Amino acid sequence: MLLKIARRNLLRHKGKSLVVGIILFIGSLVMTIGSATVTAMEKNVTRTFIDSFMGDITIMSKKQKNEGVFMQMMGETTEVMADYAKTADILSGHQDVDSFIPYCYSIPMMLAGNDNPTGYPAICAIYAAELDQYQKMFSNISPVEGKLPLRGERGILLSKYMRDMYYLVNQDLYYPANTPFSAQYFPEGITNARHEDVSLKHNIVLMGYSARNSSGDVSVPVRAVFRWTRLDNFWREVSVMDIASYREMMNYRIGGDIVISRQESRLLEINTDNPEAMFAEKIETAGITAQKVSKPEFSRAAGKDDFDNNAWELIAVKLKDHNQKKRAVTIRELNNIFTEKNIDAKAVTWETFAGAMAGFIKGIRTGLFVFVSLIFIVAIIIIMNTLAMSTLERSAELGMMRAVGARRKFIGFMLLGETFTLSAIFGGLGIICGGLMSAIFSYLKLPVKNEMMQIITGNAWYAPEFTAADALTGIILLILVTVLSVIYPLRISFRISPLDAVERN
Amino acid sequence: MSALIEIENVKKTYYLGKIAVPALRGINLSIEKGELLSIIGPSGSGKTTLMNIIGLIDKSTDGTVRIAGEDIGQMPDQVLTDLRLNKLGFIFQTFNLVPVLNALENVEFPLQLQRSAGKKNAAGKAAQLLEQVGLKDYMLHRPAELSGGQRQRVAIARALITDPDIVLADEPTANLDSVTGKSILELMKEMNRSLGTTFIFSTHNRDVLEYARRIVTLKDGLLAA
Ligand SMILES: Nc1ncnc2c1ncn2[C@@H]1O[C@H](COP(=O)(O)OP(=O)(O)O)[C@@H](O)[C@H]1O
Ligand SMILES: [Mg+2]
Repeated sequence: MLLKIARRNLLRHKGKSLVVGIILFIGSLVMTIGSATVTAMEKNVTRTFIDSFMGDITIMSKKQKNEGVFMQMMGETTEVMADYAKTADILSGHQDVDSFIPYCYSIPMMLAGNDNPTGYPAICAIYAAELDQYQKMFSNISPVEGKLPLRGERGILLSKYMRDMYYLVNQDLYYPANTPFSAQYFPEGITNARHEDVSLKHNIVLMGYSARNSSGDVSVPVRAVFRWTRLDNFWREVSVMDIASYREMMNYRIGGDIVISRQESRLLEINTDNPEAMFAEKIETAGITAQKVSKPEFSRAAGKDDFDNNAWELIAVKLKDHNQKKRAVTIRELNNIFTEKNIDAKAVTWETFAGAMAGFIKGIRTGLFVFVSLIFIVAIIIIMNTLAMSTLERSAELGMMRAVGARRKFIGFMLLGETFTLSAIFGGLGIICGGLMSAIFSYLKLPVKNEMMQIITGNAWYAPEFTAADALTGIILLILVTVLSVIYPLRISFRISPLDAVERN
Repeated sequence: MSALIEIENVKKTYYLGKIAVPALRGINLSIEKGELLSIIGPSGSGKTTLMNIIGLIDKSTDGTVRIAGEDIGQMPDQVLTDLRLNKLGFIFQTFNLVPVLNALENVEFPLQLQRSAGKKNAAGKAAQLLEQVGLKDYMLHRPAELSGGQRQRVAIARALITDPDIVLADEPTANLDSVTGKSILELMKEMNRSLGTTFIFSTHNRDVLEYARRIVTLKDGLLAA
C-alpha cells in the first residue's frame, strides 16, 4: 500500500518528479562518465608510468634516505647500491619479476664552456643506463635529431625541452655533431634568431656530486635530441646519458675511493647567479659551508679502466602482474630477502620513487572528485528543496493519514519510497546511459590534442573505461545523494501532525 | 459501568502571540457507547477544538479526557496514534481522501495500517462497506472522479472499516448541499443503528438536528444545558 501510494504520487506530481528525476539523471550521468574517465586515466597513466619509465618497483640502496629519488632537488645525491650483483641475482631468480634494468639518476651541474664565460651555470637531470637495454625494456626515447649511441659509445641524449631551455637562458644551442645545422633547432616560435648570435655546441660538460663524496666531471658529445615517446610532459626535464660517462662524472671508482672530502654534499645549492663562487676557497651561501673545491681536473688524470662497472644507484623492476596487492607482497618478500642476506638494497613502489609526480595523478583524481562533489552538493540542495516543498504542500493529506492512524514512520517510509523510486529509475538510467556513453566514447576514440588533457585521458585520445567498480561507486554515491537530500524533507514530514488534516477558518 | 468517553473540565486556550484565546472554557461531557450525539454551535464556538480533543489529535490545556476509562492525557504519541487507528474513525469536513487511491483502496487504507488484523480480507470488507454506503458502482473511482456526497460516503466507509468504538465527524455536511448533507447524516444514523457504533458529529446548522439522538449546544467555549 505504502509503495503503491508512493508510486502513484510520483505520477500525480509529474513536475516535481521530473525536476528531481532529471537532476538525479544528469548527476549520475556526469558522475559515471567522470568516474570512467578517472578509471581510464589511472589505468593508462599508471600503465604508462610503469611501462615507459618506472617499472612497478624501484630498488635502491638502504642508505638512500629520501626515497622519492626522482623528484630530488639539485645537489641531493643518490646512493650507490653496494651489492648490485647480489641484488641482480635475487631479482633474476624471483618468480614475480618480469624484467629489470639498473640505472643511475641525479642532477649534475653543467659547467659553462670557455667560449661563453658569462653563461649561467645550468643543471641537467641525467638518467644513465645501458641505452639499448633501456629501449628494450621501456622503448620510450624518440630521437628528434641524431641517433642513439651504440653500446660502449659515449654520449648524451638531450631532451628537446632542455635544449630549448639552454638556448632561451644562455643562447647555447646544442645539437648533434655530424648533423648539418638547421634553423629548426631553435625553440618553436623563435623565427628570427640569427645563427651568428648563438653559440653552437656539440659537447656538454657535466660535474657530478655523489653520495660517496666523490666528484668528477665529464665532457660528453650530444648524440641526439629527443622527446620521451610517452608522457613527455612528465619527463621532459630529464636527459639520458651512457652509463660509463655517468660513472666518470661521479667518479665511481673501484673501491669507492673518496677523492675529495667535503663536509657538505649539498655544495651545489649555491647561488647560481655567481658561477665564480663555485671555485672560491671557501663558500658561504645560505649557511652551507664547503671546504676547498678545486676545479675538478683530477678525474681526467686517472685511467678510465678503474671505474666501477658495478656502480649502479637504482634498479627499475617490471613485474609480471601489475596488481597492487600482489606488488605489495612481492616488495615485502624482496625486502625480507635483502634483510636476511644483509644486502644493501630496498624495494619501494614506483609511486614512492616518483614522489610528487605520483602525487600529481592523485591531484587530478582529487580535482575531479571535488568537481563531482560540487555537482552533488548542488543536486542535493535542489532535490532537498523540491522534496521539502512537496511535503509541505501535502501536509493536509499527510496529516489526514496521521489522523486516521498512520505513524510517523509510515509517512517517512512513504517519502523514502517516493525518493528512492525516483533515484532508482532516473539515477539508474543515468548510470546506465553514462556507461553506454563511456563505451561509445571509447569506441570512437576522439582525439585529444592538448597535452595536459592527455594526462587526464592517459592517451592521445579520449577513451573512458566503465568498469563494474565504476557502476558500484555510482550506485553507492547515488544512494548517498538520495539519503542526504531526503533527510531534511523527512524531518519536515515528522513535524506534520494530525491537526494539519483539519481545515481551520 | 463508566461511559465510553468522559470529559472533565476540559479547557483549551490558544495563544496568538501573547493574546490568550480561550476556545474551550471548561467542558464536562460523558458519552455512552452506541450514542448518536450532535454538538451544535455557531462558528467559532469551539466545535472543532472539542472534536479534535475527543479525537486525540489535539491536547487540552487543562482537564481530563478518558476513553474507555483510560486517561489519555499522559499517553505518548505512538499510543495515541494506535488508539486513533484502532478505536476511532474520522470523517472530515473537507473529505480528506488519499487522492491517488481509488474508493476501494481509500476505504482499505486504515486496515492496511494495522499490522496484525485481517489485511487479507481488507478488500472484501471495503467492498462490502462501499456497497452499504451505496457506492457499489464507484469502487474503482478516484476521489477526483466522485461528487462531494460520494466522497463523504467513502469517508464514512473508511471510518467504519476498523470497527471503531467511536466515529467523529466535524461538520461533515458543511461542504455539501442540503439534500446531500441530509443523506449523509441519514447514512450515519443508519450505521449507528445497524452497527451500534458511537457517532459524534458537529454542526452549526439547526436543520440537521433531526438526525441526532442527543444534542449538546456549544457557545463561546461552554456547553449550554
Ligand atoms: N490554531 C488556533 N490558534 C488560535 N486560535 C484558534 C485556533 N484554532 C481555533 N482558534 C480559535 O478558537 C475558537 C474556536 O475555534 P473552533 O474550535 O475552530 O470553532 P468552530 O469549529 O466552532 O468554528 C475560535 O475563536 C478560533 O478563532
Ligand atoms: Mg470548525
